[in-house]
Amino acid sequence: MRRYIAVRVASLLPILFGVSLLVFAMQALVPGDIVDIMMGGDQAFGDRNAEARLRQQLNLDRSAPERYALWLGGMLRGDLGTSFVSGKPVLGEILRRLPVNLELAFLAIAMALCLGIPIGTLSAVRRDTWTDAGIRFGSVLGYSVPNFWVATLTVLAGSRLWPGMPILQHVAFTEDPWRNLTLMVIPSFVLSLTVLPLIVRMTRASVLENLRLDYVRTARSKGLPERRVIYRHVLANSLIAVLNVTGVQIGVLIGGLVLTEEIFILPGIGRLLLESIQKRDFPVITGATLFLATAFVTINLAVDLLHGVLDPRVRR
Amino acid sequence: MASSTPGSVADPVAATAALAGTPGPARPWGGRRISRQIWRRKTAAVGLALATVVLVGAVLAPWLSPADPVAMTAQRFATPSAQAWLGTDQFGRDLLSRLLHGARVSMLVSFAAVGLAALIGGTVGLCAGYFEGRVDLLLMRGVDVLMAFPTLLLALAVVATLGGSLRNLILAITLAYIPIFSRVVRGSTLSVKQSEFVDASRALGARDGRIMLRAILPNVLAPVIVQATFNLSTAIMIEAALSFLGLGVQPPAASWGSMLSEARNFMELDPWLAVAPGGAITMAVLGFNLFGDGLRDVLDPRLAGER
Repeated sequence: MRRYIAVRVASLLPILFGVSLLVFAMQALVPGDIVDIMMGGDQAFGDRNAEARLRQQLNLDRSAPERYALWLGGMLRGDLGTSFVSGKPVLGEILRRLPVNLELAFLAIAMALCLGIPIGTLSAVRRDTWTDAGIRFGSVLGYSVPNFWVATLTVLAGSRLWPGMPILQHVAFTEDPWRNLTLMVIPSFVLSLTVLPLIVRMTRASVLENLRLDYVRTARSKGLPERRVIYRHVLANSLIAVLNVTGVQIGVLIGGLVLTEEIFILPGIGRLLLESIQKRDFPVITGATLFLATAFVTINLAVDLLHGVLDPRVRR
Repeated sequence: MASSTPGSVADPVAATAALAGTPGPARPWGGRRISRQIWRRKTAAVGLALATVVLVGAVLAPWLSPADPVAMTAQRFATPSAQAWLGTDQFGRDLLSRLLHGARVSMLVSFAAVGLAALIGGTVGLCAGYFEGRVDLLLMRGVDVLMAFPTLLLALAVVATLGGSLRNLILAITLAYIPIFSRVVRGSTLSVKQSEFVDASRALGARDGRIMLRAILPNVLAPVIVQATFNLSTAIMIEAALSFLGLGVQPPAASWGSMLSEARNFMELDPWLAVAPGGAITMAVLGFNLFGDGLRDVLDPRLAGER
């Protein structure tokens, strides 16, 4: 087991190296000159000295490999650069907004699992009935509806039908936990709809697959009540597959976070990324992209490892 | 990086990869049999119908549109009438015409991006699976790096650096989809390569290129087609999301995502403006999803039992 973990963690390193190379290359591909973009809105525009100073500050007078080495060195020391706009360290800005993302993501996944597993199980147990057909159609429809449309309509419904609906505000959890939760419930629920349909489908498929296996026949023939067979035996074995699909869906969730934060005006990393794109604040764009990609691969690895712990067959 | 569960309905990559097991030098599917079987599945037929409506609307938009999609009139926020079937928007532009031209952008971007990604990713996967060894290692490491980004994030990063335009949208989505096709084709190639007809072809003196194109490629096409259908639907979604964020086709050109985004400012006045473009996106995505489901059921008998 320890060897398995070591191998998997080590396999992450070349990927992260490649990710950093790609993000750096994107920055280098920005059309036009970064200094021109930065100086564009500045009073010092046209001031050659200021431009030269800036170039030196940004290491633009050095070659690309040198710049990459310096940039990567900074990353490894936790220095993601400084924002062009606010002048603050990028990592600090990201970490300041991280709690919003963590809360949204956690609530969304929790809601999706709490709803998805029972619904999926129901669909499997009632296979080929109207209930099953309805649930299956609902899940196909669910992942065909754009989440940012649902979010937009939720905001619209809020303003039209329920003027007091607690949306489009944000209070930090540390400030007022109860108010924070009431404000986060609706955005989290909308976000959970991005992953719910696949969790339902996966649970259904996995339960059906397990129901066919020999151990179910054994459990039934030794006289266990059906309820116990389903909940204690089948569901427990199906959950590994559900765990897996949840891991894969983290990517969808991260994409969804960006849109959810934009629509519900929540101060998370997604909004930070969008704001910095509008202001062409490249250190923040690259920093946030790198941060989210790293978080994504790390979570995926954690899910894989958890899978290995729960299911010894995976370890090989 | 992302782990996949073999046999899961939710994982088209794994599900379609299994198709590669279908051996035989001939095409593993016959067009007529498939169309009959798909037709038999009502949901797939509904999906095909929806997708066709969107496609026809997109292709014929210049001729079907009752008005110029960017021409402003004094008739602002008009309700549906005989002149403007779906009403007009905040600038008095005809909503139906804008939806049709939005379909054009959506279809152009998704088909171009998925086609390019299938071409590039397929080539990468074919080479990686056929040559194995160092080539495989190198190519798949590159693919792993692209896989390390959530799809929307990668596309977002590309348009953020290069700027929003039709070409960059296609480029962004292509880049995000290359890894999926590489993996599908590589997996299929690895197993098709074991077939006797590949050995036979080699024994007859065929070169690598010929074996890859004539013996292996026809046998890995089925999973690619299924994967492409699903990716069309997600590409529609990504295009709409990027345009919604203002990073897609620039105004006044119509795109479903930007129409929805603009409507947010006026939706208390006229909710219909926010409802219509979202409905169009849903219709298109649902169409390709349902069709893809049917296609996979037909092309992958292994999963048929789970229906």
